[in-house]
Amino acid sequence: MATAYPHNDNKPLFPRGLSLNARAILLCLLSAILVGVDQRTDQLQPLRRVLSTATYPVGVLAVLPSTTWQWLTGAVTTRESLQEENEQLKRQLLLQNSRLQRMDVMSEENRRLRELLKSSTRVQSDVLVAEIMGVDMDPYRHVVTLNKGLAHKVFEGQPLLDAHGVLGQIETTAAMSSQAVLITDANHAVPISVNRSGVRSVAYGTGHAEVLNLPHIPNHSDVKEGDLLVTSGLGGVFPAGYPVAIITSITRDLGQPFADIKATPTAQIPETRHALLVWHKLLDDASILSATDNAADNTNPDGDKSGESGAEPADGETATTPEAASKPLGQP
Amino acid sequence: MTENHHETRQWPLWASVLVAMLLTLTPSPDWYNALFPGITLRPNWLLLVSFYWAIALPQSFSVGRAWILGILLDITSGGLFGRHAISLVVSVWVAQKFYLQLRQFPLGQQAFVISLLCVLQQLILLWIDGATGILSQPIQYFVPVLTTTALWPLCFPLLRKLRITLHVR
Repeated sequence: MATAYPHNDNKPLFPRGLSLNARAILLCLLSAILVGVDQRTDQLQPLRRVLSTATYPVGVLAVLPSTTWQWLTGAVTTRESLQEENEQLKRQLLLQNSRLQRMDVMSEENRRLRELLKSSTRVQSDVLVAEIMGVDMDPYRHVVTLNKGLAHKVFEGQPLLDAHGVLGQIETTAAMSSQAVLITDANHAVPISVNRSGVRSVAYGTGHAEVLNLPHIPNHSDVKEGDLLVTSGLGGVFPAGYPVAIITSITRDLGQPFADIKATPTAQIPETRHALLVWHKLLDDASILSATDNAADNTNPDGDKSGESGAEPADGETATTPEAASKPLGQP
Repeated sequence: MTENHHETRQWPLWASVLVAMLLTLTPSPDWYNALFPGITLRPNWLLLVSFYWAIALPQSFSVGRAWILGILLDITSGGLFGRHAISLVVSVWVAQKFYLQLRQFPLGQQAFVISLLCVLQQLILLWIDGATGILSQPIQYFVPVLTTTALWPLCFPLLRKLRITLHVR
């Protein structure tokens, strides 16, 4: 063990400053205070944003092996498998397109019905695809890092979806990245309604990637196994109508006021690599009516306002006059 | 004595810490997720590396630096501020306090200390998560203890080789 360890040449005989114990205790106290402050308030959010931006390169380095591996496996894919995948995707696209056509008809019908009701709950959504860079190492904290941040107008509380349903919401944003907490995190809850019966409740994360808990549904409520849960839009974070989970088990204990209900998320949480960031805004009455007025003008060129809208195309977007607003109701 | 006696060469130390950080943060591959869904076997790399440097070069790797590392991990992994910092400070504190004894321990005994420190770290995380209300699967917290302990007999010679060949002081 002669060369085992260096002599403690640089160890001062009389150490200046605080002793090891004092420093360690101070740092522990400081950490404890930080934990408390971070738990109770949002005061540390700006600091976190700055530090996340500064440590972004570390995150990029951390995903480098997996992105390289993906690139490599992509690069050596054979022609046959690509062709096969292409065929499959074409079939899928055809199927989705036919569904989308039906969807167009239905959303048009929905729009007309809403006009009749003068209802304003129409949501306009914008989406951006983000790549999941990293996953929290703790299985009990379901947090992912995304490669989109403030530079892409990502905001805190922004909903996150994948192709199959709701994934979670943005918790912290940095310049080029952001962190999202998933709906399965034990600290997360999402307001839902049962798609079939309209029963409303809240789905809580459990820390298991496959299980959501619904503790507030009364025993006698109209819920069944296999029911689809969609976002209810209450709470204002998630837009209404996106699938969240499917009920897997219901245990009704007559001694208890609430049923024990478990659901499994529709989003493919463990394996998903891409996520959709959603910007949704509720259109107010005026903009809906003006938008529909615009549409009505387009469909009815011989109306009394056709000359006017032809002369100034922007007119339809700004028109909020009462007669313009009442006009769509007169349409067949 | 050599002429660069008073110079300190520490980049290999920080490089190894960076590697530990990256190993901690890199997402687990698909086949792993398919094989062990929801189970973390990932060893506590930062504990392994910081324990080594804390007993080998206690003057270079202080509790303050361990704290900064912990804060960085908190930032990049997205938990509460100070959560990993406190757990890392505690283990580096213990390592520095007894570094002369720990150096003399055989590998197995060092691994035993590592396992105790890892349990302590996970307990601290468990306490913090419990106090802040996000506790879900308490047993899950202690799976990494096994892998961390098992990796010490591999990590120790590696880091030692690194320190000796690159004259880290």
